Amino acid sequence: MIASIAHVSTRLQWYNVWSAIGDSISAPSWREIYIEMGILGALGQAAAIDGPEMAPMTAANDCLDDD
Amino acid sequence: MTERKKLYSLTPEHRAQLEPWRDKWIANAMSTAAMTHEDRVACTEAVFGLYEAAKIPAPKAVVFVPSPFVLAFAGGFAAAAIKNGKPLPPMRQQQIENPLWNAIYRATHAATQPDQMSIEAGRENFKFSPVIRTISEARVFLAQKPAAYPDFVGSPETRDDDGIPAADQLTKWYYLGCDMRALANELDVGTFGLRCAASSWRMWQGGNQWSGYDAFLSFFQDIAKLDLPVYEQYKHWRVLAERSGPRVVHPDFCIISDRPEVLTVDERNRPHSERGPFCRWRDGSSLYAVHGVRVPGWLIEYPDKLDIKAISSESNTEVQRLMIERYGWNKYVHDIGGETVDHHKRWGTLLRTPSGLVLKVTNRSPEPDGTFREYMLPVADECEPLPDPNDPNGRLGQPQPLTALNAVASTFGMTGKEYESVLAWES
Repeated sequence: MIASIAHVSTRLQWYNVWSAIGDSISAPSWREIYIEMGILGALGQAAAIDGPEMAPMTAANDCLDDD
Repeated sequence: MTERKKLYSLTPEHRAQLEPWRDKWIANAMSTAAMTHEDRVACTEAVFGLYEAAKIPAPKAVVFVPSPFVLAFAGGFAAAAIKNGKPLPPMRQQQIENPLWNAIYRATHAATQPDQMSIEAGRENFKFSPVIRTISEARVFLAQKPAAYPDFVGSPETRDDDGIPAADQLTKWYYLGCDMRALANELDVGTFGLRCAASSWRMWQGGNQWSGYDAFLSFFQDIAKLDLPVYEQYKHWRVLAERSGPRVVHPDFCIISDRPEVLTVDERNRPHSERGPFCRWRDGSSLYAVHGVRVPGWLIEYPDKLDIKAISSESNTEVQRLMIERYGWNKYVHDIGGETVDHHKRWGTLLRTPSGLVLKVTNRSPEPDGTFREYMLPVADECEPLPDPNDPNGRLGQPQPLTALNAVASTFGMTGKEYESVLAWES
């Protein structure tokens, strides 16, 4: 529906860093470091990410549901 | 023989940096600082860098907006208009008294018709900012006319304490104060535009909202100092994460949102505010939640409107629980005319009310603070086991004696005997 080629292409700059870091680490693994950093639990991602990010799309969907 | 690349191992010194680095990015995610002129210049440059690194043509417009609501709707409407291949209706020359409407209206025009915006920007009775189309434009604006550098497209008006929306406008956990269907029609994108707005996550990149990921990626750049060529491409993404909110990325345009002016959490980092929205942007759009449960705005802004009718008509069990807690459990049972039919220490209290049987139960799993939450569950008139909610042909089971055990069992679609045998087998 939406032409989002630019979105996909630009997001590659982000994906590629994950991949490159993973290829450059021996121990502990990138997953273990990510968990040890503890960012997701400490961030309160529901507050900073989930709610504010989901709300606009929810509002648009509600407009469609009201039709 | 090829030299084998030396792989990185986490050192004790670097491990000690994990927590402070994380906290720096948490502060970035929770930031309520408004974007500055310098932020917008840096972000404009980063957007062009992002497209260039991806080897795709630069966007025709970079537009700054006050909130993710404007972002999603203007992004969806603009994408719809471009897909339709039909120009938007001419811009009206007078603003209406609604900052969100104005912001979406203008941003949609700015994203799809930057040339028209530049022309219209000269008219005094319609003060909005021109659209940046090139990096050099952005640099010239900052170097020569700092005060004239494009402000937000829209009015970043802060609502004062007296400007709380009416209760009937606060029926959802988010507040817009703007009829989006009417706006979609005015922009001639209609339902298709609304569908595109609902799908704007396809074009979405989180900016500072995705700080959790950037904390990790940047740790290896700044602390571990991995020499990765890909960081040259990533640097644009990082600038946007550090200096702006979420953005919509489209082949023809990029729209960037500001950060909120209010963002509060409870002691467990859940969205929370008892005194107003837990999250509010500078165009007045807001979100409401209590300890992570999204609640209708009126419950926070107009607590005196909480009554039996509101509690009984609430279909979300978590929200209803919060409402009853605020109302008071004993008062609630009294006011609904509840009479105890059966009580059991383990299964709860079965009550008969004018609107039917309800079971007051206590969650057996404690909350992190050691308390146990109580809920009110509707039960069929004769404790018949409830049908599978996913089965459109489902029917109630056979009537049972009115006991708390049978009532609990019925909510799982079982008889009391079946439920007890399942529990015995599990234990």
